[in-house]
Amino acid sequence: MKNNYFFKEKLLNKIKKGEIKMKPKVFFVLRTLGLVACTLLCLLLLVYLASFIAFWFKANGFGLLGGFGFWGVQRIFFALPWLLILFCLALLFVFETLAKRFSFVWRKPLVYSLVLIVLFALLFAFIVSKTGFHSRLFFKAQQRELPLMGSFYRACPCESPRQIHFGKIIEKKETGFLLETQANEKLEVVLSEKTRFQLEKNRCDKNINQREAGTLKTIAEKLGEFTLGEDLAVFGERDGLVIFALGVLKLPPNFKAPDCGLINLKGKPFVKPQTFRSAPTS
Amino acid sequence: MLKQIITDEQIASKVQSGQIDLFGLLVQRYEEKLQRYAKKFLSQEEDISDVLQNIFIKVYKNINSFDSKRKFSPWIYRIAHNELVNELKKKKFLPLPLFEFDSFLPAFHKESNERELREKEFDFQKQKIKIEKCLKKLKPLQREILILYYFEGLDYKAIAEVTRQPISTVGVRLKRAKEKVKQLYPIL
Repeated sequence: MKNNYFFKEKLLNKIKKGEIKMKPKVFFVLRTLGLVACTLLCLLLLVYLASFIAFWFKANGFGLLGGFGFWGVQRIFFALPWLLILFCLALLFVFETLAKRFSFVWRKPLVYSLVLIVLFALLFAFIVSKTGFHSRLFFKAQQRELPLMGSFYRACPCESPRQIHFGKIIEKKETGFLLETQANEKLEVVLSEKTRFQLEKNRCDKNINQREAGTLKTIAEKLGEFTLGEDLAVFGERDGLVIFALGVLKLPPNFKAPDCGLINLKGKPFVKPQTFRSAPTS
Repeated sequence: MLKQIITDEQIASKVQSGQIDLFGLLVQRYEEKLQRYAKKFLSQEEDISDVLQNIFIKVYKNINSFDSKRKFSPWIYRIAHNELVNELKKKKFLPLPLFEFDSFLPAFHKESNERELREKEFDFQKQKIKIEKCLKKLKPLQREILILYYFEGLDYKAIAEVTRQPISTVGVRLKRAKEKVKQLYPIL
């Protein structure tokens, strides 16, 4: 009892001398506001990046690769912006750490808030993808009219030679065909035994990969299945005006190819997609 | 007489408005409880004394963050919990948990009437001294739940506020802690 009294008195003396001071109420109000602001900022950044990844995915046409089965999925896997995805996961962790300070979050199992935030990010990404938000920003970035975020958008793989090319077949050749793109370029598509075809929905044709048929003969057979003027998507590395096709996909009529900002807001294409900085022709 | 009927919440409210002498009343009421609580985790008297002082200093400094419409007891125990965790981490007795699986997924725990539970577990209370020996063999997280429930008399809701966990997780952890004690001390 004596020790208790001594402890209490020692503490009260320190308080009266001003050695221990009470923090003012405004400190806690500002702290809470700061926490709310940081949490919201984290959330906004997370959903923005999620919508950007969705935009990137759509703009590069990677959604179409799914039709090529395991090969397509493999391509998607290796092409994903993993650094950005890892950053999003880190951001998610930071968000959860901040959000756990609020009682309505820690009172429920963590999985509820995680699922909620993931669903919210996906919903937001879906809504934004329906608008031209990222396309407009990408277009402005190409025009050097976007401060701060410009370099982020210019680093988007849409600018570099894309692995997917959309266009109409205008001429058949011995080893492939000529493809006229939206930007009025005539690209030579070279087919080989490595090329996979998806000429029907959900059916990936790998017959061309059978060596015993003879590559050139099989190419000719395959070309017979195309008609001039047909819309196609060709997957493959581009070397100048030549594409070494790894996949050819027949597109449905009136298919709207993702433009990733290559088509300006008035619907006119750039003359040369490689030179994004040139003004579009009217 | 008046001091006996004034609640902790009322005292805290008066301290917030400037009646700092009344803070001594809070120290009086909670010193022994928090000392007992700290003793279950720390063995050195010097460490216990330091931690206790730090707890009350933090209580005073942060008294304006206390909402007098809520219960005071879980609030002060939360501060005590944080101080003890920091002390145990300093002494490397508590590994830093990167992930607590128990509070990640929903835990299915049937909450029966707590009073009935306490009455049924009267035998458990009779063996308090032996249980105290068992406590040292338990992990700090398991130990804490048992201490708060059986020795400090906090309910599930209060324990959830102290440990910042869902109530269902508190129930599951308490059940597991009791099973562990029964394993260590089968005489019960």
